[in-house]
Amino acid sequence: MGPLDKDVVRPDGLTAVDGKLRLQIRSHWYRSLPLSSLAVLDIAIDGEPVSSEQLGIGYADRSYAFSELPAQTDAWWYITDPVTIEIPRDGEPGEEHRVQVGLGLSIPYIIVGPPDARTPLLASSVTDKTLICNQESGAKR
Amino acid sequence: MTYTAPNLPQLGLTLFSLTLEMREPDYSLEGMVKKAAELDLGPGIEMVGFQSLRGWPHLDEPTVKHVRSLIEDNGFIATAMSCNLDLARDRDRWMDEPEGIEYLEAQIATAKRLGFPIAKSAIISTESFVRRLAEVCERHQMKFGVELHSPDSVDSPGIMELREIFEKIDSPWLGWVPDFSSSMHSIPPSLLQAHRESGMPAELTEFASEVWNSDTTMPEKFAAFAQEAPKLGASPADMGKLHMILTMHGRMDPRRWAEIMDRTVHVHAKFYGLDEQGNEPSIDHGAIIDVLLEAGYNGSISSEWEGHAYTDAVSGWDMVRGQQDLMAGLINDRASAQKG
Repeated sequence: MGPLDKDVVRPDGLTAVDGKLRLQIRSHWYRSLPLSSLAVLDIAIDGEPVSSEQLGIGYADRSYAFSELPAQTDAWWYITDPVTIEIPRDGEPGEEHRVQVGLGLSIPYIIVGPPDARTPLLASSVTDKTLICNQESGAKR
Repeated sequence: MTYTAPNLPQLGLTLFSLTLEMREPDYSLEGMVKKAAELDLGPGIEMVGFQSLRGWPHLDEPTVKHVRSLIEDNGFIATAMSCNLDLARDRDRWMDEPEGIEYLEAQIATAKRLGFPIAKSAIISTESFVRRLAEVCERHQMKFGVELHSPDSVDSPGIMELREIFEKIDSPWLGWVPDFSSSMHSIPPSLLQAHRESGMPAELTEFASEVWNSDTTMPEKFAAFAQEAPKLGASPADMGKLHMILTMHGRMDPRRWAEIMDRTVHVHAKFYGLDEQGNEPSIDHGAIIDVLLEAGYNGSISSEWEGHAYTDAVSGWDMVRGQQDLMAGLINDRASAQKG
C-alpha cells in the first residue's frame, strides 16, 4: 500500500516484441536485493493467469527461468533498474491490455515469525493496470 | 549546514529519507548529495550501501574516491553507513555465523574506505558472533552499531540478551543506534490516512489502534491482534497491512533510552510527519532530546523520514529540513537554558 507500489509497473512498461508481450517491473523495496529475493511473480494478462514457469526473466543482459531465480544470490537488482519479463502472450503495439502483477519479495535480512518457524518477510505488492502496448523501441532506456 | 555547538549532538540526514526521490527520472547520487548540501541538511550524512551504491560493497578504487569527494566537496561529514546482514539471501540455506561475519566484514571495510567511522546493521545475537564482530571492528578501527528499532524496546528479551553480551565483551567498538521509532506516543496520522485511502475498514484500523494503545508488551499486542482481528473480518492481506502499525511503531517511554546511552554510537531520528507548527505529531522530540543531552551525547543524529512508506504527498527534502529545524531549536534552547 506504499507509494512504491505504484512504481512496479510504469505506464510505459508494456511492449510488444515479435508479436509477444514484454513487461518491465520495478522493485517496491527501498534497497537493492538479490534476484533470489524475487519469490512470487503472479502475472495475469487480460484476466488470464500466466504460469511463472512460462516467464522469461531478464536482468543485466542475462535471462533466467523463474525456477533459476533462487540460485541468483549474487545478481543484484539495483533500485533504479527494471527487470524485464517475457510473457508468452500475443501482443501488438497500440493494443490495450489489462496487466495484473502480484510481486512478492523475500526480504533476506528481515526474519519474522515465532522462534520455531522463522522465515524471511515476504513483502507483497499488487498491481492492476490497463496499459497501451508500446513499440519495442519505446521501452528501451 | 545545520550546525550545533561541538559539545552537543550533531545533526545530519540519511539519504534513506529520500527513497521516493531516488525513483525520479533525473535521479543521480551526485545530484542528490549536492541538493542536500544546498538545503543545508548536514553536516552529517548517512547512506544505505545497498540503496545508494550500485555494486555495494564491492566498489573499485575510482568509485570510492568519487564518493569520498562527493561527500567532502559538498561540505558533509560521513557519519554512519547502513549495512545489511542478508541471512536468507539463499532462501534454502541461510548464512551461518562465519558467513555472516564475512558478509558484514566486506561492508565494514568498504564503509571505512569511503570515510565512514561507523557501520550499522542487525546482527546475530550470540556471544560467539558478537566476539567475532568486535575483532573485525578492532582490526578495521571501525565502530559498529546495532539499531534498537520498533517494535523492540530497551528491555525486549532479544535486546536484553544483547545488552548482557555487550557488557560481558565490553568492546569500545560496539554499541547501539537507538531509533526514535521505538518511542512513539501515537500512531502516525499519515499511516491511518493511508489505511483509509486503501479502503481498509475503519473498525479494523480502530481495533489495531486500540491494541497499539493498550498498556501491554509488544508480544501481547501481536497476540491480541492475531486473535481478535480475524473475528472482525480481517483478511490475511488486511492482517499483513495492519501489522505495520505494530511492527513499525514502538511505544516505549523515551526516558528509557538513558539505559543504553553509555554505549550509543549513533542515533536515528526516525519520523513520519510534521504538523503545521513544525512538530512531529507522533514522536515527542523534546523528550528524546532531553535524554540525549542529559547523557552528554555529542555524536551524530540522522534525520530519517520514513513517511514515504505511506505517502508521496509531501517531499522528503521538506520533511528533513523541517525536522532539523525542530531538533536544532530544541537542542539550542536546552543548551542555552543549561548555561543560563
